[in-house]
Amino acid sequence: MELFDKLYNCYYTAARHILEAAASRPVGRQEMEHLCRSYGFQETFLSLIPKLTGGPVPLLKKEKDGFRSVLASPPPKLPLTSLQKAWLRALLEDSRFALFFDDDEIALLRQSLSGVEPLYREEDFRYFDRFADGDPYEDPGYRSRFHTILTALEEGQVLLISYEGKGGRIRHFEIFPCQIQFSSKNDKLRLLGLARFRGFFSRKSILNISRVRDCRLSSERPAVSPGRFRFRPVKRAKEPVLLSIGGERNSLERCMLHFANYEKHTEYDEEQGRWLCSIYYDTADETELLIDILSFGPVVEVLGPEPFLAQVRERVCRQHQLLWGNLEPTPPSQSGPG
Amino acid sequence: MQEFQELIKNFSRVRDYMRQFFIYGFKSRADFGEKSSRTYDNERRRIESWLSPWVASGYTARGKQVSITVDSMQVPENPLYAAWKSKGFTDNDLALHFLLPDLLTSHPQGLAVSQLCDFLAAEYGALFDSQTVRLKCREYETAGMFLSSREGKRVTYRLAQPLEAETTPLWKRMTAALSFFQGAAPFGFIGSTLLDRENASNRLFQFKHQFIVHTLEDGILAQLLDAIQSRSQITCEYKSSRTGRGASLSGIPLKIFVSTQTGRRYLCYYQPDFRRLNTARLDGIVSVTVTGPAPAFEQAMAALHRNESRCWGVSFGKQTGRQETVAIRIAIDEATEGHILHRLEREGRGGEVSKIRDGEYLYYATFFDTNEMLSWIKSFTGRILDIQGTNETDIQKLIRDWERMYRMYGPHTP
Repeated sequence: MELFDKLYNCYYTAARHILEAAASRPVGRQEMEHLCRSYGFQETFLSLIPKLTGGPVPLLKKEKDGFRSVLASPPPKLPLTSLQKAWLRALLEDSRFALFFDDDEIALLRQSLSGVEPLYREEDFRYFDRFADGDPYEDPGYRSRFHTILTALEEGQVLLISYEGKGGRIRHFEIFPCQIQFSSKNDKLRLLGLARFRGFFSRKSILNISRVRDCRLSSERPAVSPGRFRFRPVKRAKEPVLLSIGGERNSLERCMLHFANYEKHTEYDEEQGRWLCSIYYDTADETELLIDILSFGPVVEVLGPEPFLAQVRERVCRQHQLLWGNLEPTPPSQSGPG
Repeated sequence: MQEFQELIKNFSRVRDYMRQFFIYGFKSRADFGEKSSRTYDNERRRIESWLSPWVASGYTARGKQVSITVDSMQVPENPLYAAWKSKGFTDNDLALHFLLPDLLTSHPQGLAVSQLCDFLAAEYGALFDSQTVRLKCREYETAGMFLSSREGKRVTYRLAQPLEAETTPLWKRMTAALSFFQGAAPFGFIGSTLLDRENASNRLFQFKHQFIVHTLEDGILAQLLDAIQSRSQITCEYKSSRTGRGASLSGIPLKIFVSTQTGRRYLCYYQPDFRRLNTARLDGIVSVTVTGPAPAFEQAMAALHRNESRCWGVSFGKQTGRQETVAIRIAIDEATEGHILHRLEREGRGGEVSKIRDGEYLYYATFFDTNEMLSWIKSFTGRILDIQGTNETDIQKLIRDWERMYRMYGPHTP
């Protein structure tokens, strides 16, 4: 089974969409270029359109108002490849797969894929630094609540949620769901949504799905477009954290890899002989970023912004006092959780 | 000069460039000394074309710098999957990809190659020699999309049937599952090809702590998993990202170790010559060659099972196999800082956490390599009352780091 195969080429995908459109009506060059950009790369139209309209075997024929497909019907959905089946077969053994289907459906999928060897097995992997308190994906209650949340998200419905907050206190929310966030490191799913606030679904909220104790669908379908809240930071920090990296202990590469999931900008300062890296982050992740930077020790230096730097200073000085000073062993109190 | 092409024949050619643009994002043409300027320009243009929304460029004294900058939470699918969807094809490949399924849809009982050639000519005016059509049919049969049946010397081809599940209502729910697993499972790009097939895209799931660059190692990963599955011995060509030096490593592949905090993946393998378990970064592995069966696979796997719980990360320690102990006293205010205690428990990888007295806890653990733990311990900077360990060198390194940090950030700093 070949992973790098022309069958998965995005030119084929773009061509399929063009042929679908051209099955029932003539398609103009502009529309073809648009489809090439939507499903292919930036310059795909330059070589794909001439191949479809000319070349040794044109798949489109010229008509008065544009181009029509030479095919008898719109391109059919092609059968799954062995690689795709093998990947789906591997997913059947993933505990998270059961979140999307009930037991009967999983049995049917298992039957449909019987005889297919999985592409990989869960036991082939060891996730050595994954947090130990991951979500209970196989718990029937968790599955049921996830299913309700997913339905609300797909249908644009409001959720009535009972949520266990800090100290075990149960709170009740009305949430319009926008997305579900997954973190591989935390092994957790979170609901991102808008909570009702002063009558409107306006307050951005993040809820751990494992702490949802009860959730029900409301019949309310507010006129909110979730699209503008999807794939967006909850609250972006005003300024990026600026790091100076000398390269000692392979810190440059380690840093670049460690913070690769953030948007960042790096440049080399010839005068200092050091790299300057700006990391853009969500304020909700500030403590996580702070402790990640501290974990690099002295091979990475925080230059700013001042409030972030103050937190680093406070922890470093506190550490010095705990080891070499005469302070009572009380922990820092102003630097937030972490 | 050959015309610029967006598509490529060889994946490994672009793998290195993409990785460098993505991870470092500050290198200019001069930093890619190994390749010619034209190669650099072509690879840069190709990557700019594939990933235009995420490519930034600017000019510095060292020349034009190109970088790929992506916050994984802000993209529905990994943009680097583009690399897997970029394999070059010929005009015949493209034409037959659409014409053959079109014919076979209207002839579900199947057609022989000679019939296919006749229909191609009659229906579309397309003249193909039978060898080209036969090879394409075999290729699609190997890929699982066509089925063949033989009657005497006559072989007919037909489209493979959809899965039984595809014809039921549950398949509608598959889009949500694919949206999730394309970002959350190994080989996620296959999920992306399935979404392409369903004319769907992810809008439901956002991925935090997703390290998108590692999709570029999936070809190597597939070969290693094959070798594990078939209990084979392998030799890998390896290039160190730190020194740039090449090396060859041989052994029995056993498992893939994955860091969810950096996305790095490692091959864990057994070296029979040294009777030792070892690990190697997947992003450093250039090629994999199966050299033969591994009769000692089961013993090697048993050795891994005995030892892996003593790995903090990917190190099996020094040759002696001696384990190292670390004891840390940590200040925690239980009333307001339960989350710190929770961190010790969820991140401590099996280390024991016990209360010494009010406001003071002990974390005690035994692993192969203290050095691997130091980064995690430093993330508790500001809370550590005392640290002791059997590896005095590593403990002193940690103490010196805190001294240096105090000089960097302490009150006397300018």
